[in-house]
Amino acid sequence: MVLRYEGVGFRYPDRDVLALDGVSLAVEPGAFVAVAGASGSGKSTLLRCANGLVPHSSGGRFRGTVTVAGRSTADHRPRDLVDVVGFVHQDPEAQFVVDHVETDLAFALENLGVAPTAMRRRVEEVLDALGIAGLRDRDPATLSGGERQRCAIAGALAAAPAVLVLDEPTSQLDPQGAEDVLGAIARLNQELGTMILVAEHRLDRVVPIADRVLLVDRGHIGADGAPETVLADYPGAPAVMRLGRALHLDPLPTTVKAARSALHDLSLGPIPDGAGAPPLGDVVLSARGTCVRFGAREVLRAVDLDLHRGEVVALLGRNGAGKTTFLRALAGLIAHRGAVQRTTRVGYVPQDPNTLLGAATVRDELLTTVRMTRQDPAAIGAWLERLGLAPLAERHPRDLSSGERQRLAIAAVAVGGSSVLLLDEPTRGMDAPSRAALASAVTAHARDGGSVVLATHDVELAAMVAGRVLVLGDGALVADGPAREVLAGSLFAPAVLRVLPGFLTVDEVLAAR
Amino acid sequence: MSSRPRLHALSWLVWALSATLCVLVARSAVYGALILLIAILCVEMHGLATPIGRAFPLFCSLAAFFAVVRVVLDALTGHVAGNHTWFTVPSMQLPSFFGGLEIGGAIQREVVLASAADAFVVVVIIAVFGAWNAVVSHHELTQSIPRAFHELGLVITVALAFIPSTIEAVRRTREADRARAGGRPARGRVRRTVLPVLQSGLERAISLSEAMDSRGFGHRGAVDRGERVAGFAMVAALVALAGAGAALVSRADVAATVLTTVAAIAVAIGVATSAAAARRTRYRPRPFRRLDTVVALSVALAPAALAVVANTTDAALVWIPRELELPRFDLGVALAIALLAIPALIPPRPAMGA
Repeated sequence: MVLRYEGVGFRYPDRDVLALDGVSLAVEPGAFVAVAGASGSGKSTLLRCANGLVPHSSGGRFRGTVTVAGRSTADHRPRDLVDVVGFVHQDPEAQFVVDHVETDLAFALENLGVAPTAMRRRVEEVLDALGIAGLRDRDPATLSGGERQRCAIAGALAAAPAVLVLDEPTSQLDPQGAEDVLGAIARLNQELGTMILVAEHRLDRVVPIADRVLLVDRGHIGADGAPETVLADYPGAPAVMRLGRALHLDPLPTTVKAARSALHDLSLGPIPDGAGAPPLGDVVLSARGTCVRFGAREVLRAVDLDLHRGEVVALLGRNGAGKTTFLRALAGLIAHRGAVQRTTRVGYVPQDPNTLLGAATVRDELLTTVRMTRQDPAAIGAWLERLGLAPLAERHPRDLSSGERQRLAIAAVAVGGSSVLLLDEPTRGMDAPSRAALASAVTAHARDGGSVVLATHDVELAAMVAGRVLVLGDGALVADGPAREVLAGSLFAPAVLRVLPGFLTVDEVLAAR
Repeated sequence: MSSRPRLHALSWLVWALSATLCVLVARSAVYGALILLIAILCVEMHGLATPIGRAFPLFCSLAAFFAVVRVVLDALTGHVAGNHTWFTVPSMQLPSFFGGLEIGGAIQREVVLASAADAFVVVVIIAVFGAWNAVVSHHELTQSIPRAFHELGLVITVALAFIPSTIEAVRRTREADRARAGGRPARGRVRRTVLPVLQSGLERAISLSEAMDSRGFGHRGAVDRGERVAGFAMVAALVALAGAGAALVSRADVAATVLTTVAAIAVAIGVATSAAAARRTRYRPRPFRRLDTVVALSVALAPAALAVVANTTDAALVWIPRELELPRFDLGVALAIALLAIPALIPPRPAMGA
């Protein structure tokens, strides 16, 4: 067993609740273990125990033992375990030490005092293992998220550890970047036999390549075993598994391919045509020929949009396609050419919720906006309720999980009385319950006559809430139409649509049976 | 703008020191302007596509702004009997407990010109420093210093990396605040900006320190003999320096000189042993090539040549203007300074990647 936890319990300083309680675990070399669980369930803490960041860096009370390749974390600090555990952080930006990819990869080797010739060879090996040889002379700050995360993994692998631990490595990435990163991890596992321990919220891509899933629930290991059994009743399971569960398939499919072959003779009613949907109201926000330039670069080229009352629009596209820029232009935050007409108040929620949050409690955060915009404080309770924040009202914003912070940022903007909400990447780092709360809040806001534009990579969310989808490519509008039509053509289409063409969600499939 | 430097960081260090020395020795507006031109040329040729590299114009404008402020203040407060008055502005007398200074009144030609000449020297020195920052790879610099100072160098590199990300965080936070207020300015904006920026910065710092820890930073075996020797050497150096200070106060010059020499030797031993003890290796250190040596030697010649020219000819290096006149220009001096432009003659490495 290369990694072993025995009776591990841990409490962070100044907390009453145990973050981990009685965790025992043994992983054999070369295994691929995915760790699932809601935000705040202790996934990260479990991972951080593997190389001694908990308790050496976190402080707090620790009991039990963790041993990696025969070394106990009790008497080895993270820096003394570099050659057995590689650790990759969620935020690709916060792990580079040097402004040069190739030199940065050698950081761990330099610290270990590896001889220059061996170091040279090792760096070439990891460059090839992660397929980043072409990036060797770049500055990490100029790379895309997926490239950056692969460089970070290479840096963690430089000292040839037997165990690689990754804490939500794809949560900040677009689908293509996530695919590249997980592909690289799978290859390391299959070809080099590196043991992988990876935490993820979005299980869709991890489950097909994992041998084993750990379900962490409030500091305990709730279930441990093969993906099909562990995730059978888990609400955050991949969409194909939820589809299989709803249709009582046995065994549960974990891939689109398996689901397709199991359901090839399923007969369903007609594809829903949206006839029952309420008619759209008048145009509340209209943009004509929106163009934005940053220096010499044209970021947005003549994009049009008519947003109606009661409409939810999803804005899809690669990283750097101009989604954020378009939202900022719609909100009037940046200089642009082309007319934007707003007949009502427009609220913009930025990608990083931390840029908004500065108050002492969740309720104060909403109160701040109400004071700034001189709105009625009565709306506060309603928005806390709508986004599922009511139980957290007296907590400090910085103590919340990233999904909860995202929801708080939305509530803090929405309470200012904007009937049009522009949400930039709202499901980044969100767990399943947060995502469900967000989806129902968006639907409820639209039902009450509001309108929402979501810039997102999350096609499952777009399929759930959006009636219309816009796709941006290189700053230009590539597609604009009903969600069902636009999403159908895409390689990153929602899983249900790929299994049963024409159907967007599990609920639609069940209704058509 | 290139992505990797062509010349070694140490060559650029020699360049920056030589240029600063030249500015200080040849305190004349013409020579200052010449050095400024050379600095701009070097940035044009070798400026790196880093945030600090791009900040060179900002650096220069900031220096110019403070120079103008200084000249205005000098002009308003400097009054010397017998000077020529250019023009007169309304004046006020500060109360006597503020020194009874007269502000405004006669603006004197000599005061303005001398102050401008002085301020310009400072602008050129700051521009040289800015240019040095724009062309040098700070990481390469930390690689070239003795290994004993590696940790310190790394701290500086990491701190420099925080500057651009903090500027970006401030921009985003202000924008978010504007969006939240519905485009109207709202009170308490500074407080609402500072807190999120500080908190995000702190969170980033913590995750970076964890990432560095996970990658073996600070990893070393048991403290070995070399480090103990280095520690003792440093203590000895401190004691010797303290003794030298006491000797200076009591005017025992010989004792002071001997003790200072002892301290210097102890420091050298400390640095050498601790560098040898550091169990760290360097990945592909940038070699000091012949080109780097040639450039370093030739730019180091500039201040030396200045000294020779000043001593052998009657060329005046310092020019303090008394009236509006063209400063004296000497070809020999200009040629000596022109040696500083040698790095700009070397073509930069072609830019790689985006």
